[in-house]
This record gives sequence, C-alpha cells and structure tokens, in this order.
Amino acid sequence: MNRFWNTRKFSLSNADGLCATLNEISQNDEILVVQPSFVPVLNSLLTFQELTQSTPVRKIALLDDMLSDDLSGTLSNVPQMDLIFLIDVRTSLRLPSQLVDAAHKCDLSPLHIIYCQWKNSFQNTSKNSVHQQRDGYALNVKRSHFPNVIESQLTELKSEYILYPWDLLPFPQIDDNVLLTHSLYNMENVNMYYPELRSLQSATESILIDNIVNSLRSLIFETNSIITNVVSIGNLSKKCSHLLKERIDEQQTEEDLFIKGTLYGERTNCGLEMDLIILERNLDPITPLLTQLTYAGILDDLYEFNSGIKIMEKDMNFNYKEDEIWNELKFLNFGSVGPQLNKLAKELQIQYDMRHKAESVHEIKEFVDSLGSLQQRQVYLKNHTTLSSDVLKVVETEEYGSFNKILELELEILMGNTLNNDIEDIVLELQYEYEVDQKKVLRLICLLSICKNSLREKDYEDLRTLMIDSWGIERCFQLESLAMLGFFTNKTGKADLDIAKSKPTRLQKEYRYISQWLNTVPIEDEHATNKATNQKDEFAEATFAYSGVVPLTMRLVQMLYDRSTLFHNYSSQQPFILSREPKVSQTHDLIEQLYGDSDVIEESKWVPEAVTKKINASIKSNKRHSIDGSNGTTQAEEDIALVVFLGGVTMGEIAILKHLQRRLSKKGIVKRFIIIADGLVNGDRVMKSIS
Amino acid sequence: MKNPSFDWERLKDVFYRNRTIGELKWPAQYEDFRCALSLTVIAVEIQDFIQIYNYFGQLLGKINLRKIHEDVVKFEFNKDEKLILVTKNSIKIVNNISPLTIETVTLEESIIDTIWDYHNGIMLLNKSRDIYKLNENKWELLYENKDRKYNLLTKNHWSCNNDIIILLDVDHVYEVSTLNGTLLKLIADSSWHKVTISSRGFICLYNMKYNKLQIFKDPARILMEHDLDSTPDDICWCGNDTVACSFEDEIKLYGPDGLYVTFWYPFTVANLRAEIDGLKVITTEKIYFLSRVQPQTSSIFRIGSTEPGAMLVDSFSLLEDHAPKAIEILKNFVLEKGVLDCIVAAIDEFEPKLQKMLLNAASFGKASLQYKSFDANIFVDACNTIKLLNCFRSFGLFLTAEQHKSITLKGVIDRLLMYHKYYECVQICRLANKRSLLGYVFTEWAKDKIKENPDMEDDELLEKIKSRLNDIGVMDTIQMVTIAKIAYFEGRFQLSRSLALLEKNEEAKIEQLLDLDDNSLALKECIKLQNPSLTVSLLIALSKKLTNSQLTKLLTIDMFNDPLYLYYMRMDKAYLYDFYRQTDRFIDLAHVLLQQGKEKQSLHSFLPQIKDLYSKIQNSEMVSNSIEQLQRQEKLWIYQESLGKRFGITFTNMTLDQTLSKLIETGQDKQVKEIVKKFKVNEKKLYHLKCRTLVEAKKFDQLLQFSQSKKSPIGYMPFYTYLKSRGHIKEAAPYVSMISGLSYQKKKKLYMDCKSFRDAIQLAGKEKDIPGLKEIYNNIPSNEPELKAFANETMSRI
Repeated sequence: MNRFWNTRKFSLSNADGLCATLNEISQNDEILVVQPSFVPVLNSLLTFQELTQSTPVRKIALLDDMLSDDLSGTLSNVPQMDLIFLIDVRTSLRLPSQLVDAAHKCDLSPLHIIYCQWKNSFQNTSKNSVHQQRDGYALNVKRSHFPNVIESQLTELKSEYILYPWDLLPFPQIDDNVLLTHSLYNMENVNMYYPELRSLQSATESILIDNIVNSLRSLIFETNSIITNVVSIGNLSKKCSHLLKERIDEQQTEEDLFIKGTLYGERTNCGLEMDLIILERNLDPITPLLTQLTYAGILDDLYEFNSGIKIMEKDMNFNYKEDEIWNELKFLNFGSVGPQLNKLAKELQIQYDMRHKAESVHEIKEFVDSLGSLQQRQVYLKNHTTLSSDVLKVVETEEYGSFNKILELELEILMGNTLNNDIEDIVLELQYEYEVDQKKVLRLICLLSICKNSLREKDYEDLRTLMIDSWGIERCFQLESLAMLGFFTNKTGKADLDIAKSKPTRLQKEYRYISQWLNTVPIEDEHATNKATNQKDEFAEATFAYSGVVPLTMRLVQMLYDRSTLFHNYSSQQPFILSREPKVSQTHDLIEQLYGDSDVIEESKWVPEAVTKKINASIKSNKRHSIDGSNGTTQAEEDIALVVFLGGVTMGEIAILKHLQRRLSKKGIVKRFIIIADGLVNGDRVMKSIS
Repeated sequence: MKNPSFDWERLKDVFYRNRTIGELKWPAQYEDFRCALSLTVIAVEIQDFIQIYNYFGQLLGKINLRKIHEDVVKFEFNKDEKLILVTKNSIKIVNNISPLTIETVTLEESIIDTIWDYHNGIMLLNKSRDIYKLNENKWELLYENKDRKYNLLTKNHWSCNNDIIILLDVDHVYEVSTLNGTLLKLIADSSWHKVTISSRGFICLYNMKYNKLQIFKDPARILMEHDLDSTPDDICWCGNDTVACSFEDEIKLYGPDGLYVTFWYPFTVANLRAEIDGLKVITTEKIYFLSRVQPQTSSIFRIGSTEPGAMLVDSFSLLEDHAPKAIEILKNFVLEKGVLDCIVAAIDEFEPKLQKMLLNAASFGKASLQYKSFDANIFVDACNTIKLLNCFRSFGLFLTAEQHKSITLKGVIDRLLMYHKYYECVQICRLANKRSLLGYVFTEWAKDKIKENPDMEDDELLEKIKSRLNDIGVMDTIQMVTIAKIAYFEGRFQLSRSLALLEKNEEAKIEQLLDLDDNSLALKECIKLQNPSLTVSLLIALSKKLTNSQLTKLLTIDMFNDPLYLYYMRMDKAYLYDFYRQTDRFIDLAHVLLQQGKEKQSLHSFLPQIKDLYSKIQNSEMVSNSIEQLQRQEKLWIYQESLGKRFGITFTNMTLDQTLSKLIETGQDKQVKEIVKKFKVNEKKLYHLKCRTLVEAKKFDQLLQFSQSKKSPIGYMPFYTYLKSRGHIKEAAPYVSMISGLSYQKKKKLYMDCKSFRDAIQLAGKEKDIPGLKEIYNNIPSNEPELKAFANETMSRI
C-alpha cells in the first residue's frame, strides 16, 4: 500500500490533467484566463514555460476587473486566439462576477470554462458504464443529469458554454508528506473555518467539510488505500469522518468488499494498517496564537506564504523538490538554521575544492558534470543565507525588540505566571513601549483569555475599552466575534456561550491544568539532561517549534499511540503504553476535562474486525519487516497515518509531527504521518479572518 | 450411449444434423391460419385473436384483434421480438401484451396510398411501391419509385436484410441500400420469382419457370446454381451460407456442385425460420432445429475419428475400467486441443447427458495438462454458458450458444420481461451473477406492478416494492426514479414521492422530487447528503422556480440552521439585509450593515442603525457589552464634534486615543483632563500617550516638565525608550537616572546606548568599576578627547 502514496505523482497528475484538457479544447493558440485566487496554486503545479510548451496556451490573463477591457484589445489584435477560463469554485460556489461580465461584454460564444473538482467525484457512473461495456450490454437509459453549481449559474447567461472538469488531487507543496487542499479560504479570501459573517459559519463549515471529505476520498481512491483505524477529535472532525465513511461506502463495489473481507476478515488479518486521524483547529486554538520558531514558521509569520508557498516581498521560490537546502532547513528551529547553513556552506566549499585534487580526466569530467548542480546549490544557499540574515535583523534589532518580549510573555502566559492585575499594564507596555502591532497584541490577549479559560469581568471590560479606545469602534465587533469563537471571553460570557445549541468543540479548562496533564511545557532541566544524553537528536521534547511549548495537537496525536506522557503526568492507569493502532480507550475522562464533553473523541474501525484476536495480536507484536528486493536489507515497514487538520495547520505543527514520527519510530511504532490540511494558519491569519 | 453422429448427413465436407426441439403444442387444427415466428416465440392468428406461444406451447399472451379496429394485413416480429401488426395505414408495435400497449406509426397524411407490404423495418406502398424505412418510429422515404422503374408482382418479389433490399422487377433485379436509398441495377434482363437474403448478405433467387436456384453475393460471381426437381414449398436460409428448400415432408440442403442432402420428416413441414446458425423447421407435430455440426463436434463423434477430441473422450470412457490404457491414450495426441474441442462441443450439445460427458472428459484432460498452461476460465465460462442455456431451455427459450451471443443476456431478459416472466428473469440473473441486470429486472417489475394494479392502495404498492427490494438487496442499478415517474403518470403522487426517496442516485432523486414540485422534500433530502454544491444548485433552480417570498419561507422552514443560500448570495448585501429583516435576526442584520459600512468606508453612518438593532436583543451579555461600547462611542462623537467646533479641527473618525493625542499635541491640557474624566481614561495610558505624543512632536521640554510634575505611574523607562527609539538619544539620557529599580550594569548600558558617556563614567566612578570604565573608555569616539580625559581622570581617582 505504501508505494502508492508517492505524493509527488499527485502534482504531476494534476498538471497532466490540465494540459490534456487544454489540448483537447482546441488547436488554436489559447489565452488562459485564471481566477486570481487560483494563480498561486497553478504556479506551483506548473510553470508558465511548461504550460506554453505542452499546451497551446500562449498567454495568461487574470480574471479581474481589468479583464474585459484588456480582452477586447487583445482579441481584436489577434483574432485567432481562443479564450479559456480557469475557475475554482469549490469553496466559493459562486462564479466570479468578472467571468459573467467578461462573457457579456466580449460576446464570447461558446464560452470555454475549465473548473476544478476533486477527482473521482463522479467516478460512480463512469465505473458503471465501463463495467457494462465489458459485459457487452448497456442499460441504455439516460442518466438524469442535474445541473451542477456552475451550470445552473451559467444558464442565466445567454451565450453557449462548454464546461471541462479538471480533476484535482491534493498535492504536496511544502513537503512530501504535507498535502494542502486550499479550501480554507474562498475566492474572496474569507476563512471558511472562521468566516467573516458569523451567521454563515455553519454553511462555510459544511463546505469546508465537503471539500476535505472529497479530497480525502480522491486520495483514497487514487491510491487504492483501505483505511483501517479512524480517530476523530472534535465535533466537526466527527462529522467529517462520518461523511467520509458514508461517501466511501457509497462507491464500494462487491469486489472492494471482498478484498476488505479477505484482507481483514474473520480468519485472516494481513496486519496492514492505515490510520486516519482527524483534528480540528478548535481543539487547539492556542498553537496558532504562538510565535513560530521554525525557519518556515518564522518566514510565515514575518512574510506570509501564499497558497503557492511563495513570499510576495522576496522573490524566492520555495520548491522543496529542487531546493534541498530549504528542504533541510524548513523544519529546524531558527536557532539551528545558522549553524546548519554554515555547515552546508562548508560542504559546498569542500565540493568545490575537489577540483584541485582532480587529476585524471575522468575526475575532472565528473567535477564539471556536477558543476551545474553545485552552482544551483550555491544559489539556493545564498538565497537562504540572505533570507535568514534578513530574518535575524528583524528579530534582533532594537526597533522590533518586541519579538523577544512577546516570546517571553507567551511562555509566561502558558506557564500561568501572569498575575491578574498586570494584564492591562502589560498590554499598555506592549502597545506603547514596544509598539507591537495591533494584531499581535490582540493575539496575546486572546492567548491569555484562552489559557485562563476566560478573563475576569473587570479585566475583560478594561481590555475591551482599552482596545476600542486605541483602535476604533470597529474593534468592538471584532472582539464580539472573538468572544463568540471563544478567543476572548469573560466568565459570564463564556457561560452564555456554552448554553448555545450547536456548540463547537472548545477548550474548557485553564491551560495550567492542560500543561500539567499533558506536559506541554516540559521543565527546562529535564530537557537539558535529555539533550546531554542525546547529542545527536536535536530535541527530546518537541519544544523547538514554539518557545518551550509542545503544541496540544501533537500531544493529542501522540496520546493515541504512546501513553507515556499521560502515564507520568495524568494517571498511571493506562491501558497501554505503546500501541501500533491509534486507540482512544480511557481517554474520555481526560477529553471531558479538556472539552467538557467526552464524546468529542471517537474511534472507529473501517474494516471488518478480526475475531481471532490472539492471532491478530501475535501478528501485531511481531515487528513486520519487509524485505527490500533490490538490496536485500530489511527495514521496518511504515504504516501510513493520515493526519487531517480542519481549519488549517501551522508550519510549527508540521515540524512537530515530523518530530513525533521520529520519536515514535524509535520506540518501534513506525508511522508515516501524511498531513492533509485545508490550509496554513498562523496568528496573523487567524486574527485577520476574525474581524 | 448412442453416438449422436448416427443421424448426421454429410454435404460435401460438412455434416448437418437435425434435432428435435419439442412437440408442437399450439392449436394447429385450423386449416388456414397465419403465423409469425421469432427466435423464441410464435404468434398465431386464430379467429379474432393473435395468440403468442413459446416453443413449448405455453400461451404467453393474446391480442384481441377486434380491439384494434383495423384489418391486420400481416404481422411479424421485429429484431427485438416485438410483435408488429401491419394494417393498411399504419404499423403497430406491440410494446406490451398485458396491458396492451401499442405504438402506432401511421403513414403521413400527405401519402394517399396504403401499405402493401412490410418486412424488417422496410415498408412498400401499394400503388407506387415507394420504399419507406422505419427510423426511430418515423417513416423515412428511402426510395421513390417515380417513373415506375420497377414493378413488383407478388410479395415474394422483394426481400431485405439490414443492409440491402432486393427487388425483383419483371425484367431486372434491383438492389436498394437501406442506408441511403440508392437504387442499383443488380442484374439486367433476368426474371426471378422469389428472393431470400441471408443475414450475411448472400442472395438466393428462385425462378419458378425453370425451377432454378441461384446463389450469389456479387452478381458477377455466381456461387451456386441448382436445378430443382420440383417446386419447393418454401425457400429459406439455414445458417447464413446454405439454402434449404422444403418439399412437403422433406427438406433439402443445397451445396456447391449440385450436391444436396435430404432430411425426411414424419410430418408435413409447415413453416421454416432461418436462424443465424441453423434453421427451425416446424412440422405439424414437432419442431426441429436443423444445423451444421460444429467441426469440433464432428471430430469427436465421427465414426473412426482419431482427432484429439475423440481420443480424449475415448480415454475418458476407458478410465473407469482400464485406467492404464486410458492414460496410455492420453499420451498420443495434443491434449490441449482435445480439451478445447470437448468444451466447444459440449456447448453445442442440447442433451445434458452429452454435455456432462464432454465436460467430464474435458475436465479430466485439463487436469492432466501442465500446471498453468491452460486458462481454466475457458472451462468455467463454458460451464456457465451451458448452465444458462439449459436454464433458458427450461423456461421455454430455445437458444443455441450462438443465438445467445447474438441477442446477449439482456436480450433474453427483455424477451422474458415482455411476457412478465419476472421469476425466470431473477433466476437467470442470479445464475449468471449479473447484479446490475437484476436491478433492471426489478425496475421493470415495479413499473409493471404499478401499471397493472390500478386498484391497489399506494401504501400497499410501496410495501410490496419495498419488500421485494429487500429480497433483492442490490441498489446499484435500480432506477427508482423511472419507477417513480411511472407512478407519477399513473396519478399516484404520494407513491411517486416515496419511491423517489428510495432512489440511490442523489442527483436523480433530487431532480425527480423537484419535478414532483415537492420543493421542501427535495431540499431536505439534499441537505441530508451534506453536499453543499448540490444543495446550492438546487437552490438556484428553486430560486428560478419560486417567488422570492416562497423561497424565503422554504429557507426559513427547511434550512433554518443552514445558511448555505445566504452564503451563495453573500455578495448581494441587499438580499441578506432583506432576509435577516424578514426573519427578525437583528444581530446578523447588524453584521451585514457592518460589512456594508466597512466596504463603503463609512462605518460612522451605519453605527446608529447597528446600535438600534442591537438594542432589540435582550438577555445577552455580549450584546449589552457592545451596546455599552457603542453608546460610549456616540458620546465620544458628540464630544469630538463639540471639540471640533471649538478648535476648528476635525476630529471625525478619530479614536479616543487619537483625539487625546491631538489634544496633547495642540497643548489643550484642559480638554485632556476633561476627556480623561469623562471617559475614565486610565492614568497609565494617559502617560504613555502623552509621553509618546510629546516625543513625536519633539516637545522635549514639555516632556521633562511632564515627567517631573508627578511621579510617573508607568515609571520612566517608557520615556527613555520612546526617545531613544525615535533617535533622540541626547534627550533620553536624563531619564535614566529617574528609572527606579535598575541595576548598575543596566543603567550603564542604557547610558552607553544613548551615548551619554559622561553620565556613564560618573556612574561607573561611583561604583568604582574600573573594567567598566575601561570599556566605556574604549567606546568613546576618538573625536571626544575631553571625555576620554574625564574617563581617565575618574579611573585614576579610584
């Protein structure tokens, strides 16, 4: 099963799909008009050069307000060009108004529209027809076709149109094991998890879930995977896993059931496993509010990656497939980036120096051959050195001295050291003395409120007035939104919220308890001793991505496989210490403490349960080894665990999960975490979307 | 066992055989009756009825001709085995026997002529002999016999297959293509009296005068010519390459070179029907199937055959008694060919005994083959086919493997469905393991069930259908929607709705419900699917169908907690506004206004409205908090206005802090105090603000004065930092001494940072810190010898 999860192939198949469609549409030269919000994604799939080489596309235009004017000009100059629109309305559900305008003004007929959809959306029908063709008959009945969202909106237009679906799969942009679906933000850049218009929340959530579920399904079908164990934490996550199950079962044929039955049935169990863990942002609202300390995280905080993992200000391409240096550095603590860069530079130098030693013609040739890649490497190294020195400047200079202050404050808040009466002073100090950005101040206040599980009445009032006084009355509504989402609450308001009918999952405990139970703020000296004993491994505890804090999400995931933390810190009554399968048994108590509802966590098995437990257990206890045919070495086979984040993932969490993967494999649980998220978040994005 | 080859006849190198299908059981006592044959059934006209029998003589259905009110000129079966009744003005396609559903294709009114003859989709007019083709139940003129190019004397003078029509004119032979209607003179100046065309396009002409047969595909190359001894009763193709003529009680098959074989029958031959692989012979008592013997079969059963198949059968028959010999035989021929031959021969046999024997032999031979050298699927498929064919025969469908292949399983099912043989269909589907077909059968069954039982209650019908559905247990190919449509046409709306709800294909279900005008139900079902894009497209469809208020009602009732449509309409603020107003959701309404205000950059003007909306809500802490803030804001605006009037500066859109800063900047201390009092501004905040404003305005004196006026509640560190961060390091130095609780080292650093070396030196001197002084000394720029001297002096003093 593992070998099918070659995620790089997903990018290729996406790109190929587009090229095939474009080639199919016409042989004339084409102008591709792309919806602006989709451009970064398109760019990271294939470059303009690749596009022009493999398709008749000659020009790319943006589907914005200027378009219709531009078009009439271009079209009159070059009459032979075909116009093709590329839109993505998976989250927006609404055609871009510019498309309609353009169609009206330029009198395009027929209108060629390529739209994105998750692969396999309509697999059911096509599969059937193939099946029937094989049998030599077709039940010649007209499948009723209900117009899809795009068609039903296009019918208002008079002109003719042809729609081409483009099947997409989530594809890796940051790392091989991180797939983003880009469904967190819609066309207007509204966060679907925290929408701007509060009242639309349930709608946007359902759209978000629909997208995630479809993308997961597309992945599962593409790779022919069978999910065995599922754990979902959070109400929305539960909804998501139920819907996914429903949709997968819907398309299951007898054959699939048979395969499942034989692989996991009563008698036999092949021991193959694939986990699906679904988490949502509300489980851990704290992490995105913290300052990220990994290289990628800091870059995201300071410059913000767009959906193509590019930074606007710096014209740099963070392509992990080509840029090895980026690949090595991205998940390191920024503190280790410098030494690492130094090391890399030295290595590069050594490689360059090789030429002096080269004596035979053969050696010289070898060197010359590698020259291209060395030079490329040098360019990347230079880029990253410049970039990290820029970052360092920002972080260290007195002008922005706030960076360290904020870090300090965050840690203090998390450790529960802040005294109540200090709050306002601290905020004032930050605001005026350190001249910290509004968003950051707000972020810290939210962090405080969450960690304290709502503020005291007076503090709440004071902070509120203070913020409105300094930043204007609009903030009143932002604060209201934050309150609704549980980011900034007072004691009574919080109680109000809890009564609400459809309450989303929310932290219900003060952070000091959480940190105690889950050991999220590991004690410094323990950390130090670990470090001493373990020279090579950077950090024993996963505190490197944030200032001394282990993200809650990581602890939750860890809890499913490894209970040692809980054993030491929460209760010594644990059903297991290590488990290959993700298990939630005896966590309900903890979960109820955290979220006020023990049903928030749910475990299920999607394959027939093996009856013969004993045999099963014996298989499981043996570490399975697969023999690699090529060189005969044995290596522990890794299970795939899909970790789904609803509402976005932070760069730091990605790094931490990588770390967890390494830790677990050291303990003999070899997993490959594939992170599937709807988008990236960090503190700024969260604050921006709630306004 | 009797060797089946005993009654074979040999024509050149091909054997032919004649096998009994069954007894003739339908009424044949009438002297003169018309009948039509199809592959599986026979239609007989008896008095006023057309009765349809299968080959077992079971009556499948009758059609009362009186109900048709027209004289039936002719009837025959089309290729889907639907009965076609030809009257003078129309042809009627019988789609269903009971209840009788007839589709009539009448001649166009403009044609003042009647139908002369019809066969296989081709129709000739009585007077003009124009040729028409039936195309999707419409007449299509194929060839117009304008100038009487040809004349056909009897109905035997023309024939057609799917590709061509042969017309026997008095003088010439013409060919018309059914594809485009081009007329071609095939043979000039030759006259014939009967024509039959084989399915492969061989043409057989018969001349009554010379009693002569001629067979060709291409007139330039006559394949065969025969002079007959007597006039044949009928001429028909046996298979697609041999011509058979019937003479009273015998049938002759003609081969090349004047060869022929004769089959004698104990009874008079009444009728013939050409099948693709043989000939059905209907005598007055029995029905026979005359066909060529497959080469595999003949190689096995031919007397004295030493072909692999025959050897294998031999070996198998010896197995029980003389095993060593049997094994010995196995070594002497190509075993694989033997196995394959036996399999093919088994499929071709009708007799279960023979089938079994041949399959046993094949299985025995297969087991002796090398591992994996033989694809066992061939054997399994053959077994399945034989099982199916035997099953068909038990249901009265007499099909050979070839015929089955040509009509496919679906064809068989369709034929059975025509006569409501659902049970048999289900059996066949189960046997063939075709679940998708099972769904089809179910769909057809349910449709008929609804149509046939007009008296049953909706609930009863639904229960019946549901219970059957449970028995079947497949949903994939069942089209509930089509059943629902039938129910709808029958006027059963409730049933139609309930059936539509059972549909598995979501889109179809929604569409059907929408068609039924059951908007609310459609919407509910759609929401259940949790597919937002489908829901939105349904809502768009609904929005076109319904008035705005109807839609709003629907949304509030069925989608109360699901604002999907509003999400879709999010750009249309006016719509959102209306919707929220109608549904009394004031807070949401306020938020829409807020967004609008933000977009138009004039939040100011929207706020009073928002406040009003907020104040309609009671018992919410959050709202009352917001109202408080809004009131405070209003107060601020009023105050700002009064200030604005007083100072002639506009304060609009300024926050409280900005207003304060402005006042501090302009030195209006009195107003500052007033604001602080009025709005209860925190003293610390005031200090920060004032401090910053003064620094920014470069009013350093005032700042110093301010700092000394009263002990600062925020300490003096901010003073220092403000000054320093804005580059006024000279001015920052004095504040260092004011900062309380600083260690010496820190103070020294602060002095150093703002390059106030003198202070630093003094400080260090006080602390008697020689290394510190040295450090300071090193940092002093070279153009300040005075300071260096001072440092030295301090150092020497210690």
